[in-house]
Amino acid sequence: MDPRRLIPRALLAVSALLLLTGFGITHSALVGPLTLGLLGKATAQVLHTLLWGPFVVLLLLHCGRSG
Amino acid sequence: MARLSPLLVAALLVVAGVWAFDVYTHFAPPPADLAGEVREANGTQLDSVAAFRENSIRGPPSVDLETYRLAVGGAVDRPLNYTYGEVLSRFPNEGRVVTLSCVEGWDATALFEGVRVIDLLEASDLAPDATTVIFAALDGYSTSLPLQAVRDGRLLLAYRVNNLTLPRSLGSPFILVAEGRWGYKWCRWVTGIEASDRTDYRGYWEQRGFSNGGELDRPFIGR
Repeated sequence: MDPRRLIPRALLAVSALLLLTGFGITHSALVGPLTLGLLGKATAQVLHTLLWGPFVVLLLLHCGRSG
Repeated sequence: MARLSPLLVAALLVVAGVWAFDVYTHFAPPPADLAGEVREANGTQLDSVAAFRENSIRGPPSVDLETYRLAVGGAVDRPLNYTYGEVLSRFPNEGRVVTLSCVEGWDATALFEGVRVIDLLEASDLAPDATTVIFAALDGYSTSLPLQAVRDGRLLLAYRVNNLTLPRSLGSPFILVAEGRWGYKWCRWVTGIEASDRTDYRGYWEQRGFSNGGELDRPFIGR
């Protein structure tokens, strides 16, 4: 796939996941059942804590390529 | 594929390196000094001590137990200073499984053992006008709780967790086990317990917008 399309799409996906895992921490009673139990509070916490790396890398690539 | 600027490549390498270290520390096995910790008590599954994040305001201070003193004062008739050993030997010990819920989103459940704060205060003859208990830490941190909550909740000043001596990162030598309150009420590295009539006292995070009550069933932002 063309990286010019891949990077913004991956960045969008990671951003959405960051948002979802954030809600999974603060609103675990809602997000847990909505994701059929896949995103419990503990899982959301781990993912949210570690997603900053891919997010910053994709953001740098996105800005660096469009700048 | 288009060339990336050297500055961007350097930034990417730095970010990737820091992130890889973060991932490693997250999944690394617990340190050897946690060997022997219990992970179950009275049928309740306990989290490892490693699950408690270190979130001090200036990095975890190191306390010399030989020179350490716990000051109990303020609105009391007999202000007293205790050595670490005196706290452990003079007051009844109690163990309780309690969950710490942090405003950052994580929580951890452990077996805490310690002495009741109210016992320490009453040993100094609490003044009748005392309404608040202010906890001070070695690193300058402070927080407060209503005296009634300290009394009714039989809150502990813990020196053991999961059958281990309280580690430095968790507040050695003493952490306030503020059961039913947000994590910022769990004062670590406690050096002072002060009875007061100042119901308006606001601690470190309370001055910065966190709720003074800190009750778990209420939002932590606000008065």
